[in-house]
Amino acid sequence: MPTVVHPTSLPGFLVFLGACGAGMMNAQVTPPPPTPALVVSSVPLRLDLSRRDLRNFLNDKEALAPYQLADGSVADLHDVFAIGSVSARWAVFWDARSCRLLGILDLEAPPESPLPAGTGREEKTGSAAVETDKGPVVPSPYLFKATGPFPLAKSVGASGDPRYFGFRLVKNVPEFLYTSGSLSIEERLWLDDGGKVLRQRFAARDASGGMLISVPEDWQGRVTASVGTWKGAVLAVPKESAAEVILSYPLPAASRAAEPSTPETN
Amino acid sequence: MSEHPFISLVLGFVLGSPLFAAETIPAAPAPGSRERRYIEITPNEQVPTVRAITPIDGSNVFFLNHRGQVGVAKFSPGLSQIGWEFYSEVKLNALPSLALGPGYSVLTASPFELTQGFDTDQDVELDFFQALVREWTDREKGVVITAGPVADPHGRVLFALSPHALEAGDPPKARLMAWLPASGALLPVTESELPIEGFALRRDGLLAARLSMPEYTDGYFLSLTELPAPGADPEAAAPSPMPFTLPSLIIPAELTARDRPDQPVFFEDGGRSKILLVCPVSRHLVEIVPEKAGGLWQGSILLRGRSTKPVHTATEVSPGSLLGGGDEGFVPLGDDPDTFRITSLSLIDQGLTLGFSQPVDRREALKPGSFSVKAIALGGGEETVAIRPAIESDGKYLVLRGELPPPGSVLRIVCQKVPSEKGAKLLNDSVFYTLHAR
Repeated sequence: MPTVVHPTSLPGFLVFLGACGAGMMNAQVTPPPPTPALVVSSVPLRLDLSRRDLRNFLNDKEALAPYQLADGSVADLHDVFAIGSVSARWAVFWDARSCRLLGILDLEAPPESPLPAGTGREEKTGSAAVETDKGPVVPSPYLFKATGPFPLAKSVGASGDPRYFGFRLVKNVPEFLYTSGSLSIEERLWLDDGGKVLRQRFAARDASGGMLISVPEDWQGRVTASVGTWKGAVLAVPKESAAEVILSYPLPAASRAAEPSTPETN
Repeated sequence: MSEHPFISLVLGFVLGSPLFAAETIPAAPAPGSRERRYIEITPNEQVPTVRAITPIDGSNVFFLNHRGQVGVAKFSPGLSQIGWEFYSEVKLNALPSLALGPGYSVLTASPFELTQGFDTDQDVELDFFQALVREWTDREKGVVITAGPVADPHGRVLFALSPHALEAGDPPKARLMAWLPASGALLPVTESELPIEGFALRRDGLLAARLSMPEYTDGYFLSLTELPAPGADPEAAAPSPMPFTLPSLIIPAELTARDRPDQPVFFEDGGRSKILLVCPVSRHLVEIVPEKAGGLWQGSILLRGRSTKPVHTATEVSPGSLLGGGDEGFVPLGDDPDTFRITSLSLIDQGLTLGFSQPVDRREALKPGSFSVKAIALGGGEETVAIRPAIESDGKYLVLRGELPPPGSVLRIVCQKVPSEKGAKLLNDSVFYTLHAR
């Protein structure tokens, strides 16, 4: 007869009670939502998920605001989620501090040049090459860098800094759970179509005013959405569709990213 | 050895593991349709790189590898490894410590977050990771978690924060924090001038904390502090004055071969509560026997053995049964009866007593010069203590009579010419005692 350890006899039983009672609003008490039906023929990659510390690679002043320190310097990135796959050349970074997609790194690109002295971090876009009076330097290996404030900041009900709650795995895909004001948001990221597309799924509860999702301006017109209407780099999602919206970021299979194409709406 | 290792591995894990017993799992299928959940361990040639271990029961452990992945491993009663599997392949940015929560959840900490992983869909894989704590004093100014987590007997989760000041102008102090799951409150439970690199907690509340003092190269500090049990109101402010983690014992660098010992682990041995510290590079296993005198903690420090493989961490799987882990997998840390070593050092009224694992050579042991005892004052300076050796009848205990120095010193006893009666050489000829009170 095997020895049976009942959970109530384990030290820390209250951890579980507390977790259920005090904070697990999005947690295991709710079954994970079903995997969404995808709009394209889908070949999701098996993902490798890790958390790591990185040098802060952001340039945009508003995106850097959550990392600004009292002495004026910028904090490095800690415990950032790195999502990759042995079959993909991209590493995708998501941070719990700012609750957003931070960047998409081309693992085959040469390393980023150190920023020339005096240029600061206020480049206009993340993926553009840095132009200095000494001439162009190596383009950024980041296909995507976060810009602007929190992407859902313009949504009705969103307010203040978003608060990270945790993450769960849905069929090996990470889904990040956080709140912003009265909104409870689930954000899922995965590499699809053999690694040629990054999908970003948002689901919001209590989004009585729908969602407004901002993407970096240099991605305007390249990102497609399963629902909603684009107005520039902002996607308006009606409240009826706030339970699921999937953004798709095309990732070049070879060579560097193409220049942004003509914006489109859907 | 079974002719069918695969079958024996599977059966061993299924039958032996409470981890997968249906009656332990909330919301398990109803009786009649119950299905025992289990991990099927397939032959696995890979050796896990172990950085932390926490026991589930006498034969199963959770562990953390160097990539921050959580695994589960099964052992025979003699701690021979049967197999291991991942419990989560997510690579957490975790400190080398993990704790067992209810429902086979696992607690880990990075410098920036205390995290609890759950197997919510009961498929024997962690799938939900809740950030329990991400905010504390001066986090934005660089205050980080330096050690932990450890679950205490009162259901709290303890972890250490790097030095910080609670009020402007206060001197920065490291603090051991308790997270209260029922309310989510975070309370300090001890303060320390020195950062806490690792700690362990005995069930009665005795805290053993490794304190960091890099500039001191002759030894390593271990603090012993009694943590009071929380009162009726667990959220009440910490007692004043707050327990202070003082450097109770100095672990001499010569006992670790100048290798920084890892975090401590409490264990039972011969009816006594002891502390083990492992040294990953030198492979030294250092044993401490804590003793309380005059309200202060002190104790003996000796070399228990050398591990056969590098060991980064250790745990007591069952009373007296120690398991280590490192880059070359798991290592049972049983006390080798064939090793001739000093097993104890106790203070008596007029001197001290040394215990040995085997009878000593009586004639050699009683010769002048076989022993030397020095008292190194904690404030500086040292003196030689004159002693007269006498052997107990079984030959395993030696009484060294002499006038011991006043409290506030480290005794260093060297048995430079004491072979066993079979001629074996001592594993290590020196043993230490940090003396604060008589």
